Amino acid sequence: MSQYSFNGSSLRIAKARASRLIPQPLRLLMGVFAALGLISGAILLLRGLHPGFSLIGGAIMLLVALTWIHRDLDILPAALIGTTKQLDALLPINLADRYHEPLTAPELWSLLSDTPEGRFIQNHFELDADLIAEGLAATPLDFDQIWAEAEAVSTKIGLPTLQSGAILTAVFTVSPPLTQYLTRAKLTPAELAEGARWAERVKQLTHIKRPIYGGIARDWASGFTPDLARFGTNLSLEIEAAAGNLSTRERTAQLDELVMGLDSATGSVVLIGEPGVGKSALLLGLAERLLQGTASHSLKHYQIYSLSASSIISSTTQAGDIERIVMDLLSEAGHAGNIIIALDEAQLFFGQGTGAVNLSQVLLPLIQSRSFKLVMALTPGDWQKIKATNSSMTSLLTPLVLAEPDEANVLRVLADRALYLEQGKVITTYSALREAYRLSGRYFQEESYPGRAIKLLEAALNHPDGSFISEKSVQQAIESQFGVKVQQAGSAESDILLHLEDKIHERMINQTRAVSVVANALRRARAGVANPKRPIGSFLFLGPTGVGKTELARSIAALYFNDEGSIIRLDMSEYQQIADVDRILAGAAENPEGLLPKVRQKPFSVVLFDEIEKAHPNILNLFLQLLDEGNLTDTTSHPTSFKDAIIIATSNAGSDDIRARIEAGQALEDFEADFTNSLIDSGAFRPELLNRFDEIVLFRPLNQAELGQVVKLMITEVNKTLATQKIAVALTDAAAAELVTAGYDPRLGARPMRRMVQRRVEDTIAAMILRGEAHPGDTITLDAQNLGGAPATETPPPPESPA
Amino acid sequence: MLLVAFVQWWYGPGWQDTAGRVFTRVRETYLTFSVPILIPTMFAPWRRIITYPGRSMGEKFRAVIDNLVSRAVGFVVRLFALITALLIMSGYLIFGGILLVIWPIVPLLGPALIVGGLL
Repeated sequence: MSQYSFNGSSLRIAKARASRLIPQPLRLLMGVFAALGLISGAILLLRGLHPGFSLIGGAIMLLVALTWIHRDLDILPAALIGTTKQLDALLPINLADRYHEPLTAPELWSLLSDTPEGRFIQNHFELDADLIAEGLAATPLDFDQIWAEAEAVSTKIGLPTLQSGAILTAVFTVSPPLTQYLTRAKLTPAELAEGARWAERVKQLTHIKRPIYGGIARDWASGFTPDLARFGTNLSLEIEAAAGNLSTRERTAQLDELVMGLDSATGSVVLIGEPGVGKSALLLGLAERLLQGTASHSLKHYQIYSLSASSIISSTTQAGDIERIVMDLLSEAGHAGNIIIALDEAQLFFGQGTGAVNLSQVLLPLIQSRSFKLVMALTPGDWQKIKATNSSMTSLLTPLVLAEPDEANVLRVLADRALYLEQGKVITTYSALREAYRLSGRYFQEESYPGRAIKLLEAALNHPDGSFISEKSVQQAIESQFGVKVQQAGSAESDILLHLEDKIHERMINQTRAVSVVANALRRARAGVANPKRPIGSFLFLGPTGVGKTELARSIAALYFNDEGSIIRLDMSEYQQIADVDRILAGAAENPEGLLPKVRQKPFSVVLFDEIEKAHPNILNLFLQLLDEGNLTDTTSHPTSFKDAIIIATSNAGSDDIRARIEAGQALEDFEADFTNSLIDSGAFRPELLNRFDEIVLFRPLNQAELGQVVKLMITEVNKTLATQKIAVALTDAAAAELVTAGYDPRLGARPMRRMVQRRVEDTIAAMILRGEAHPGDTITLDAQNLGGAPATETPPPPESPA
Repeated sequence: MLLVAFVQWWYGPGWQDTAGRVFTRVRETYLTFSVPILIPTMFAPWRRIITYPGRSMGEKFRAVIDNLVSRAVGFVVRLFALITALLIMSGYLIFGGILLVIWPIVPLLGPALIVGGLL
């Protein structure tokens, strides 16, 4: 026996169907006839003709009918949830008027998708109506379960009655094929419920009535504020012009506290929060409350003027002007009697930050006299600094700390913001909101939620995906802003990733094991499998000098960041003292060329720490945090994220051991673990540091045959340089063998080879060009006897620089 | 069934709703013309334009005169606003009152006039 029933002949349903039978054009026609009837009836009566009464009577009947339709038939409120199980009473009217029994699941979907809420959810969640209808046709549904779930969803989103969006969510929750469909679309029923809440929000907005904020005489008993209008922004007028503010609906408690603070004896409040946390939005919320006159009797119809330090400073010409202007502004506010002064970025008024002025001596007596009300907005860091230097003033302020809202609240703020941004021209999908939340958290490190997510969503407007602002739009906004890839790899890129080893081997000889380990790590990162809270990858390259460690780092930069120059290199042999810890952690003000400022400027880089074993142990301790949490905090307490960087540390430690084992015929894979243990035992590295690297990569020494291939790569590089002169160089096998013999040193690997090519090939070609013996279009083939330069027996310098 | 529904609505919720609408109009006028603000500030200086008294008797006397003028200007402007509000509110009340009184006969008025006109 079904728990819910539908009475198609109930009065509500009859009224709803009657309303639907009279479409809008017919109503308009009725209105026109009524007007004509009244006018013509009146004219006839004025001429003494009795049929005028009939025309007026007909017009009155039409007006009566229209009144009934408009005020009764069109408004048929649904019964409250829990009061009945009669669907004819429970269903929203735009669904009830077409509902009938028996009804199939696809028919229900068709009805739902034709309601405004259904269309809204379909569009904003990019739901494929045909696929959904197919899914519903495949499996029979328990309708009682749908209604019960719909009641639960409506209640959860704070609605007392059933709503079409909630019923749609319930259908997806109850139907297994649709739940699977949602999973494939990377959505959940809970997110659809948020969509139902969002649709309800739109309905509220479109039916909002312009509020009366005090009426025409509101400010007649308050003073004029011409100077404040010149130097500040009247937030209350902004709210009045926009007929309200939506941005603070989740912050009722904070608004209450703010009003209480302003209403208190001190009358001044400081809002403390990171940039983007919503300090300005809270001020707009306060402005609205004060205009409504509901917040506090003593603050009723107060207006908020936001003062900008920069606009005041830019208008001054002489010393002392700033103090005079600020005094004038504050006395004007005090005299007007209905002004709250808001100092956004208040640190600038207290000598903190670029372009700042110190007005604490001006402000202190005014705040003490309580002649006006003040709200300041500060970051926690600036609040602490001002507190340390101006304790007498800060003790007069009521602090209100604003915390970052949780994800659900941020998404709701974004949803509201999206409605303003859309302007009826585009549709912002829910996945775009979610992506804006996710990616802004990762890439907009300097700001807090919800500000950073709003900023990203606004940037995504410049990258429309057809008529949608989609997940892809948000990703493109990040990619264009930061030059990093966040979209799912395309086919061309997938091809590169899948054949990364081949691409790296185009510029590196051998080291197949090292290349394979690194390539796998990069594929994991690009596919989104790696932990996003740590660097993209972290590798410790171990091996002798000249075997390709730096070359592999360059290859990674070229292939992963599309720029071989995306390398930040630190020679750790320069960081051997304990005092060097501060050098590593220097902020931009202390050393703009330091590690952290560089990473902040270019977060998408390979960060190469050469000869890491030579660094001071305290610096190695910093690596534990860097590799674990993906960030380091500079000496001025600013965090720097390494989450978008690839960390590579190189070391020659144990290279003799590697060489000995390779020469003894062992494969790298066979002694990796044993070798790592030997490094720990010898005290070269602490186990906790080694364990934090994603991979410890061993490089084997190169033999003479491999050096021959290195020579070929080097000649290719030389030819690239000569390409502009249309000259090419080639080596005979004898010449290549001569170079290898001359440049081979088992201790230094390929390192002397570059010098050898430079001296014996490049110098020879340079001399030929200068003598006029090489012409554009020539290919110069060098044999062993043509190789000029240094003798083959030259002793190379000791191995100072690492691989 | 719909005819019964119409009658039920017209003489029940419809009548109440009309009374509510008349009241809303009056209230909106009351708020738009800031009547709750006008009355307590009726004699307040216009836009707080006031002169602070100086030390000499002449300056004090002048301040008194200036402030009286400011209050007088405020009073006149507010009085006009108040009178306008009262007139509009009265109009709504009279029109609304008549509508509410004739409301029960309006549905009957139409057919009656049609028949009357044809006779």
